[in-house]
Amino acid sequence: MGDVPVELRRAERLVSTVTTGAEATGAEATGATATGATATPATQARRAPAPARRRRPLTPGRAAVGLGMLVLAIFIFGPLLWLMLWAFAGVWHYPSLLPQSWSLSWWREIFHYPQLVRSVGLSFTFAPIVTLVSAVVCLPAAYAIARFPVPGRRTLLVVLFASNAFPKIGLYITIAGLFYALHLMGTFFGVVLIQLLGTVVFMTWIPAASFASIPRALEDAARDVGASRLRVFFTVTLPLAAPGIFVAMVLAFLASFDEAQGTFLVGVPNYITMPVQMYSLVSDYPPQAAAVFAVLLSIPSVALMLLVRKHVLGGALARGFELR
Amino acid sequence: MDGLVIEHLNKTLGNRLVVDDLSLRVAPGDLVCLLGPSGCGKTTTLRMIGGFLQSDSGTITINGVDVTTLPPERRPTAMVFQNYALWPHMTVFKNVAYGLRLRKLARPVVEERVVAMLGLVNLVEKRDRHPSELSGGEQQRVALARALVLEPDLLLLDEPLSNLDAKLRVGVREEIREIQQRLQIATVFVTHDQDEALTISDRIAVMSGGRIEQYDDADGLYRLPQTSFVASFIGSMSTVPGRVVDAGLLLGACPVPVACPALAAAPEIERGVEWSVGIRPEDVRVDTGGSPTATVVKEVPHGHFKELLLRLDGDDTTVIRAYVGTEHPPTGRVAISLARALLYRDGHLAHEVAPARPVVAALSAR
Repeated sequence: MGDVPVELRRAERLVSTVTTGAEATGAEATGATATGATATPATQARRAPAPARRRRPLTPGRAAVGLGMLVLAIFIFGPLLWLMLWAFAGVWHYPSLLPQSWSLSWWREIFHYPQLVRSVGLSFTFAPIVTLVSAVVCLPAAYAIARFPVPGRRTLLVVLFASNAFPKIGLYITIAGLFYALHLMGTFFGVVLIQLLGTVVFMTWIPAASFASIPRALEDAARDVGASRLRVFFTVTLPLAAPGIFVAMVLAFLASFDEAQGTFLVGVPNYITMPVQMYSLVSDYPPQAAAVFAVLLSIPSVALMLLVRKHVLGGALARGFELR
Repeated sequence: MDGLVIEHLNKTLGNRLVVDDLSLRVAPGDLVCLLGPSGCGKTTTLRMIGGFLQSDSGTITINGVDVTTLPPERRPTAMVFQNYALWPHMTVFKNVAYGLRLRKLARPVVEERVVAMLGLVNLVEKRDRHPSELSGGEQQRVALARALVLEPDLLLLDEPLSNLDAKLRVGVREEIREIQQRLQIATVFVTHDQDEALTISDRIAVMSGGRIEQYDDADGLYRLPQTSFVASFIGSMSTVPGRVVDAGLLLGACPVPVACPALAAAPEIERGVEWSVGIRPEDVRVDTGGSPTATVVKEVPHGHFKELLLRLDGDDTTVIRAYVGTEHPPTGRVAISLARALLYRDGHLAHEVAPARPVVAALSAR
């Protein structure tokens, strides 16, 4: 392991950036995903203080940091561990610390329940489609914001950000009225549209920062040797902005994947995705079923977060939320 | 006319007139420098030639074709950018090949031309490296190769040496000049470094405030700077107020002889008026004998020569510079005379006072 303070700082930054992302998705219905997303940095954070004790004397300051890390680790891992235990529990009654018996029966149950299987399929259909539509709509806007003196670009960015700062349910109720009028309620397109809302802020801010960080001379140079504007975009600009766009697409994917409120309002009963299914599982089934489903729901989050770890650490995400 | 012809070019950026009615001709095969301080409009002019900026008015013609309104991809120009602007996600080979591939040439042809060009800039063995793995000088050469491989009619260089360290700069500029002469390609080179401009150019356009002050070769520019701006910008020149008398000049209140026998018989130089007298330091003779007229106030070593600051008698503010050898530089009271002097009025050169060409009356543009 390298320099300890650097490692610590990276871990802290990662925790803070990922937390920002999780909060901004407004995915409070699926707490499991937020914990899943932060699992990676937490692992790093927990590892970091160990060699510090070996190399340097234990000062009160260092001890406080170590304690803080421990609390953070418990805070993040505790619920996740509890969830895992429940997913494999047969019988578990208070005040026992561990389940009295273990069972895989709820896993079997979930995989044999057609409605649940269908919701998994739907979630994995909506998320990629929403991500792609979001990219097609937002990337040109992000490029324009980064490259041209668009009037009110700053206001636009702030408004996009602010739209995520308020409780969405109010917004959705209003939108529902509009969707009824446009016959979008209960339609596939309606669900895509409502899920799109939560992805716009990532798909605009982060790629805009990536585009802006590409020196204009690189594009000029390509035009100079004969490339048209369009070709310059696809052969120079896009490849160079790829890390930022990649991070944005992952966050958009997760935002769509976790979206429950809007999908519940617009999609039910035709389109019940995994997070929406969680509602009925929590209310109608024993905790084991919900736990199994929550574990399933957090798998893509963890996998994708591991995938973009490099880019998140590389600062593409942090850069995206610097307002210029 | 062939080559680059710019006529009455204007450009306003913000509220500032950056390029002001600029006209310039670059003959085929010539290397022309746009030289001037920052903000003089030289880069703006270059970007208009390359097509990255649209001029407000005026025309740009390259080899007889009016390119004024063409976008950069349709101009026969190739530019080397100040920071090289190499594409970091492509190898050296791909950087150079990019433009050729756009022209839908067969793969072997592209390969052959890129390798030949990399050979010219000595980078064949680095073809599969990425720009980040190259030194500054190598990146510079890749940028040059990328521009030249398209065989443009006009090569544009935007301060291409400003990011190299001083030693490398001299080597690379000679290399650029050598390649440019070998390919006989018309070139416009923007720089704020007079040394760079004087050493590699066929002609130099000295710019100030969006205008060309003087367009001349290095010799003419140095020997006969047509305006006081050029005089102060190129080389070192002392400028002091003075009058013409039969024996020479009266600088301030101090009589200074000039080695110009015909001066006394040159009535076309007005006597009663005050001139702005420009004196190159190497034209000042400093003697310890004779009747002293000046005092050495400071001695600045420059390695192989020394620079003296001389305060002329008569008033305390008139100071001129002189270059002397390093052996026994004069100190204290000295007698001075001039080999040559330039007379300016209203910022423009009016007369040269020199022995070879006793009196040159108002010089017309060369």
